[in-house]
Amino acid sequence: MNEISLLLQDLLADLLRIEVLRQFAALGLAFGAWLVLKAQLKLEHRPWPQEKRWPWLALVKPLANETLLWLCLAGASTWLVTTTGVGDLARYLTSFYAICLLSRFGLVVLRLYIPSKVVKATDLRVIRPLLLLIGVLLFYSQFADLNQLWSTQVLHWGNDHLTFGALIMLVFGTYFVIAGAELPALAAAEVMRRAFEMNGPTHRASALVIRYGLAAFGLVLILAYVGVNPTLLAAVGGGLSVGLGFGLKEVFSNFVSGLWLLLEGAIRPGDVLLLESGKGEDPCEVLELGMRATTLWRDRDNVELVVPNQTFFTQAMVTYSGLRDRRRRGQVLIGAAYRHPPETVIALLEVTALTIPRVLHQPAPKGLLLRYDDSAITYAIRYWIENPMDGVGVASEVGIAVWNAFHREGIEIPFPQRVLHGAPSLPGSADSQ
Amino acid sequence: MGQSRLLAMVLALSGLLTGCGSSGTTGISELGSSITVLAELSSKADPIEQARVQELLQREIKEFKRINPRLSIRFRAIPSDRLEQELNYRTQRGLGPDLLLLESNRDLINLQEKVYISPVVLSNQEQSNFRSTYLGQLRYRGQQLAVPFVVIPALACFDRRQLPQSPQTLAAIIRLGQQNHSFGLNSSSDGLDEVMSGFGIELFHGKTASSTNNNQVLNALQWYREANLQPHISFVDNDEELRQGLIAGRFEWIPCYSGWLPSLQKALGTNLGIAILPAGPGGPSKPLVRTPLWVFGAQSSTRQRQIAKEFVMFTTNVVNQRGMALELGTVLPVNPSIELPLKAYPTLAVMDAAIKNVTLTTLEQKHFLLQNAKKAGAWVNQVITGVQSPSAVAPKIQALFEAMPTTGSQP
Repeated sequence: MNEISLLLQDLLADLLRIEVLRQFAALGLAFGAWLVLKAQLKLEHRPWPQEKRWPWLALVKPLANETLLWLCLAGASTWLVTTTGVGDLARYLTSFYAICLLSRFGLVVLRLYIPSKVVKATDLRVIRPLLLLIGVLLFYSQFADLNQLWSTQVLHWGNDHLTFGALIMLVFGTYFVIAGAELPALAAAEVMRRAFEMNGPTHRASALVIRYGLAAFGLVLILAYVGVNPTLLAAVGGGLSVGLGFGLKEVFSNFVSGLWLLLEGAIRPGDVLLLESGKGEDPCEVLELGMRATTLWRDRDNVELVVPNQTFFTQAMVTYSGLRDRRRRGQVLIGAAYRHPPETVIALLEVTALTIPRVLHQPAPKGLLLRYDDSAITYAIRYWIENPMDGVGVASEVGIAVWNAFHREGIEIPFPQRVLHGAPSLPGSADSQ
Repeated sequence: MGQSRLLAMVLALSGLLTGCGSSGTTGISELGSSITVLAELSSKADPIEQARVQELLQREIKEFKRINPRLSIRFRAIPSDRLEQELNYRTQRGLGPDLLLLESNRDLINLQEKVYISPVVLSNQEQSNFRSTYLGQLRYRGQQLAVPFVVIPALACFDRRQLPQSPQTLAAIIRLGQQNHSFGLNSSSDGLDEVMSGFGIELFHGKTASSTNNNQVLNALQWYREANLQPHISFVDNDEELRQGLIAGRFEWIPCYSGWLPSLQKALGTNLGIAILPAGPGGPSKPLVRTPLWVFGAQSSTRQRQIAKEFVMFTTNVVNQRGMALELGTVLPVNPSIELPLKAYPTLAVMDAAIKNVTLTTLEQKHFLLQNAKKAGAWVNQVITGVQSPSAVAPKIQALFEAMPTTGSQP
């Protein structure tokens, strides 16, 4: 650490050199000029010529001020280099800003092809921190030998040591590998989807598997770069397994369950299932299969349920999107008076169900006489729907349609009736008197 | 941000841009009590000597910082072949070093033209730290481009077990070579001046005695041709090969510099003999000396230049120069006020004798020689390898030296 401190002192001394300060001053002036120009031009708010003719202009319009800043910086650094011959530091900062700006343009283009949410998350979690890290390291390299810093030993234990570079790779490399694997995984999965005509859930599952694969591969590379001794790894693994046996049991169990579910394909993002606790009424859609837990969406109340992965191993589940298809069968029970012929009622029920748009014609709805109850004959109309999430909604529509049809055809829906007979009066009672 | 604050900031930045050059004397130019010293690591140098000199320099830096606790000196060593690249990189970023320790064969005029270095002004008292002849050869157009650090004379090194004493003349080398004594000689393309001056040729006073020189160049080339015909006399094109040849016993005698002595002494111990170089056909040997140079950077603030100069004066004062000469035993001081105890230090005595009759080149001559080194080296090699006759090449070399700037000096 002492060596790092000396290197930083050197950096500070270099930053205070007159020619360096002169370059910063030039960039500062350029920044001031940009502030003035930005306020005067209002580029992002005023209409641009040909804006309606070329819709892509609207996409890059939010970057107009940033581009203007780059132009100001580039002008200042070029002026410095041509007049004094000393300006490579300013030129470096300008070039780096240009790279940042290019990444912003790249993200605008990416948004056209990849969900905006993913692009934004990648930008915030990966691209900006990565650019910041690279920028800091390259800025340092302008002043001193980055290789020297990279190979400086910062941690010692026994005969082993950790260099600054290895530490950076361990901390930031690991973070970027894990956080940055999502976008390339999505791109690869998209290619696979088109090549192999995958359906939605399979596509999303493959994206997740690729993401984990990329992250695992990256981690192995980082460990190899750091030079982790296989024996040490085995020792750490041994220690970890003891830890897993106690404190981390649940976490590890959930992680392995998640991997198993992915590989097995029993649950994939996009699947619709009923948890045992769901009473069969509220199907949930699998949004994301995470490392520890699975996120489900329940449309009834629009909540996201975070369910530990091992739940799917310990509880029975009903899924509508298993191996065969995603269709779900629904039914509505209804009673009709005894006087109506069952054939008439059943035919009416089947015709009525077909009038509901979301009820499938094939397999056709099926009416059934279920039982003779006290006040009515109970019938069931059973029908199939395409989207299992629509079960409650379609049942309601079918119920309403049946009531209207019965009302129109004069079929009575009897409610339970009970005839009460009074008990005969006893001699000597008040009534008899 | 208020307009007045913005205006103040713009004015301050403008002032920094326009008013505070490296030659400024106040304000921000006073910033920085830290200087960067860049030392050239020559591939020709003896690695042991290089490490010792660096260690000694570090000690001197430490001592200087002890005396001036508020100052900071950052020392970096850079290989010779990367020096210009590093200077270019740093200068273009405004990070040019404040002080450089360069090998004597650097083309300082070229470095000044590229604005990597700038002249230094020395007061009379400061000039008294240096032998005037050595200081004089480092002036260019009336400006002092560098100051010498130490003197490293050229010598003859030999293995006493094989060769009891060093040959006194070049003819003796041929004779001994015929008697199965092995000799190693330098034929590097950038060492033509060293080769020729070793023959006692007055190369650097060319135009005044050109006909005489023509004969001397021819004699030298003929000697080279004859030497190469001897199976026990070998030509090699780098210093390291010469050193290793003597250490490994392939050569019994080589021309050397005092800076090589640590490696040779480590390998040969008391069997290492040193002597002044043999006389050539043109008279006594007039070898060049190597003088590592302190050179000042072009991007220092006034304060940094002052610190750099103070440090240079510190390294060349009587105490440090004497201590360095006695501790290293391989360099001679540039400070004329020093009397070394030569009787107690026989190696220093030989070195002192060797610099009594040396050739000093001006910066213009060095610039010229470095520009033509490749061409001239190729001519000499053509003679050595028999591709061209000495009489065919001698006029070319003579013409080259006649075109050289004539001002030169001898101590």
